[in-house]
Amino acid sequence: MEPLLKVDNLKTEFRTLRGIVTAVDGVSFEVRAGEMFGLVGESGCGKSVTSQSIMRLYDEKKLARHSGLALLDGENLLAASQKRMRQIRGRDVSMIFQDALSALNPVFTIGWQIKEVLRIHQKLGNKESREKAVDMLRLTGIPSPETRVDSYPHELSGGMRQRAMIAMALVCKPKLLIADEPTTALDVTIQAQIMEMIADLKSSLNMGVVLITHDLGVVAQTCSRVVVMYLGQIVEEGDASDIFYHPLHPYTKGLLESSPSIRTKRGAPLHVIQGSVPPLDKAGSGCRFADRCPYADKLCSSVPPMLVNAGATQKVRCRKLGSIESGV
Amino acid sequence: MPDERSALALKSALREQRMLVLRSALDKRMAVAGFAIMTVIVLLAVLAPVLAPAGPYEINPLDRLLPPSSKHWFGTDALGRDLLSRTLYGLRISLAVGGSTALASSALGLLLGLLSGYFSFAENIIMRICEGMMAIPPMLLAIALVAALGSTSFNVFLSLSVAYMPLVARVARSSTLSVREQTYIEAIKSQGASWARVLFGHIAPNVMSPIIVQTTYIFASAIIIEAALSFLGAGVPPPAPSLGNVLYDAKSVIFSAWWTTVLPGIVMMLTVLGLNILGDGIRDVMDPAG
Amino acid sequence: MLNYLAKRLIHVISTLLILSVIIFGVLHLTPGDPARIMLGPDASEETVESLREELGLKSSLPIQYLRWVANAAQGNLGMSYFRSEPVLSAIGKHISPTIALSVWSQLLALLVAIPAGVFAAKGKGGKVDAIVAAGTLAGISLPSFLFSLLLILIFGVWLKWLPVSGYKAISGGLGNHFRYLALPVMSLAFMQAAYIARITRSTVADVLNCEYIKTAAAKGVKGWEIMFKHALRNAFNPILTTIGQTFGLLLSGASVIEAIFNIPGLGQLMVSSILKRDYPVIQGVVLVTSIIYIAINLAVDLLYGVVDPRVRIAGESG
Repeated sequence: MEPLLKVDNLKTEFRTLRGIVTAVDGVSFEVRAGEMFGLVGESGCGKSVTSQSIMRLYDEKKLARHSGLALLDGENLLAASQKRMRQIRGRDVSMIFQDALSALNPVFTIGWQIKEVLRIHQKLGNKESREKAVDMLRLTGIPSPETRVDSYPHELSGGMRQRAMIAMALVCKPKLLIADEPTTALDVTIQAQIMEMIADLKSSLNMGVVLITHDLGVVAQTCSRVVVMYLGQIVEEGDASDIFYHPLHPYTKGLLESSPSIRTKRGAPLHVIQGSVPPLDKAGSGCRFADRCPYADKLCSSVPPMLVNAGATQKVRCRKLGSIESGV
Repeated sequence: MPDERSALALKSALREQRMLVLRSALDKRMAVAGFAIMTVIVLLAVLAPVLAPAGPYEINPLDRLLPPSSKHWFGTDALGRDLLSRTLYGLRISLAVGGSTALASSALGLLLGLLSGYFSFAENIIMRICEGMMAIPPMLLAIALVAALGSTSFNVFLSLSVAYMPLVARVARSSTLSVREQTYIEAIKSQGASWARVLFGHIAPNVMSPIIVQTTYIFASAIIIEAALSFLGAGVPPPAPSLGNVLYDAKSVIFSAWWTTVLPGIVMMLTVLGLNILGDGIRDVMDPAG
Repeated sequence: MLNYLAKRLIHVISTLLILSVIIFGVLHLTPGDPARIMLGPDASEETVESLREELGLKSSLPIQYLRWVANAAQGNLGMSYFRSEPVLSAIGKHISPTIALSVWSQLLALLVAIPAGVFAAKGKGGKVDAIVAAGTLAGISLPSFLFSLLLILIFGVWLKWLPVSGYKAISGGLGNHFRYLALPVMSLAFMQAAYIARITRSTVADVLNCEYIKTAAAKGVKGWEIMFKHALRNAFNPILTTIGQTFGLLLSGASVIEAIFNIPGLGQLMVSSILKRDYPVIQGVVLVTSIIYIAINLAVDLLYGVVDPRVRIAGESG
């Protein structure tokens, strides 16, 4: 089956005063209709940049440069005009963000914000679009949507706000939904409800979903296939269950080990990031994970590893694979 | 924050650093430029008796309304007075009135702001009065005061100082309120320091930076209002060569002698511009985030 | 909302009371005797004395103050010393040019400043931003009376396009109204526009960093709609505050501009009253102008809630 979204060798570079920084470096993956696909890594590994590059949300005059392909139903989004992109955004591809409180405009009612999508893409009148907005809010499980539609974002609870944002993203029944850490800001119980709702809507709308998260546990429960990113590169990819039960890359292992308590890892000192990191295009000729990797040897930091097949569904970017497997 | 060399964090760090470097360089340049302009202007004013080719009141009926020439760089006015001389002496008056207004209103406002930020009973009285005063636009308050007291240079200074005082008091009060809560103030208090020592020795130095910025802006604004008062008959009384009077005289001959308006006007604008740039520069250097 | 309104009104009333004390106090700083000023130096002591009686100047200051406030509250601001009419009617005759001048200046300033600020924020650090920054610095540093003199030189003396003196009421035709007001309005609007453009630029630039701007883009909203609907609406309150605060500058600047352009407004009434030491009129003009200023700022406070729903909540609970 032809994939809904085919990303091929995507590269995103940011212009800075000290030169060009490659935030996404040759990422490729495919998402099929009706599939939930996981894009995993710690914050800043390039997963959000990947999604916003596909949506072309960066200022391309001043900041960003893209190369590669991002084919949505065969149409290369990276080559589309801005006018064409505006048609696609919100209609064919939608996004939801981590923190609905800051992602929803505080001075407009949620109904207004949902209706705006319909006004842009379906040229609906006020009454019709209001009905649609109410229906959509009901579909996302908001109680008494007829009154909630006139609420402002700050008048709703965190879970309700996230539901409202999902309603806004899905009101035009997009082919692809990009969900960027959709549950991170929520309570654990509500997290499960929201993920379940996204999964249900995915099936009923036969929509492709790219789930961006740092939590491999969530991915294992909901996604069919996974890509793990580190510093702008894919370090491991494969079926979710394989990666969950047989992680091969040391980074994936680390992520999994810290998965339930991933926050403990976050307390590490800041200077590691701020220190004299070389610009990414020069960043070590070798493996980017080398200096954090417990298995790394001298060669690791000079020889760039390739993404190679390993097992039935997996690919891994690690030259020490054999020795790690054998436990040396 | 994740303990990771992240591309994004790097990107934003780089951008931020670049902005900061650019900004602080630019801010310093602004502050320096403002300072340079003001130094020149103050020097011109101070040295007016040396630099001025003629006395500011010297009338030469034969030399009426002469355009700029090598003899009269700024030309002459309707009474044949040398305009460069009047402008230089005018700078003296404007700077004296503006500067002393800025200092007096800041000193008084600082004192009242400190007291009302520290003692809540003082706050109620002082701040209510200040609010009432701020309900009158500063220029109108100054006009009313000058009209009541009579228009002399001293009364103009006095009225402007009273009119600007509440602005400073408000800024000083809000800074005092936040400084008062700092731990080190608690520590000093717990060592048994008197309130005067805490307030004037420890809090006052820490509320100075916004006040200094404010003082600069008041300086600029007072120069403008002092000159504007001349047009309402409530300024420094003529024939004293204040910039306001020079420009007021120019208005009546504007159809025949453009230089009487333009040249003193440029000097006045440069003065205000210099003060505003200086104020912006000081503000940005002191508070890079804002 | 009602609670908020009540609180604001109480605040306004207390401000008005203090304002009245200040204005009354200023009048009584006056050296010399109002009755003497009215009658001139040649009048006999007896006539002065009887006028003093008539004006109620023999009562104690607090009584005089209370009487004045009570009268002012009923719209009686006393008699002019030199015009044979009540202060309020003198003000009534002179207020409409001032209002026209202020309102048109404010509108012109908004019309120029808001787009300028928005575009500067959009292209932060770029050419437009630099031009707007230079323009605002010039606007803040160029006093309106000086700017008006330059405009008179350019448009009145050199180009001879526009009249430089006088006023035509709006009832006499829009064309003439605007022809006569063009230069005064431009003079006043420049500084006002500079302040508004500054605040618009900085708040819109802050708002553009917010997540919901990205959300709007991800919905397919057009660039200009993002700027003028999503961003500007969120930046409105600081802009409103600045408009309210600088309206005082506008009103007082208007008096000077009126004096320069010979517009028969409050400013001119003020100038002639200052020259003749007609204190009740000066007092009245300051009072009325301040009340307009207070009313504008009250309106601004109430608009906060209309513009930003979060303020409504804060107003109710706080």
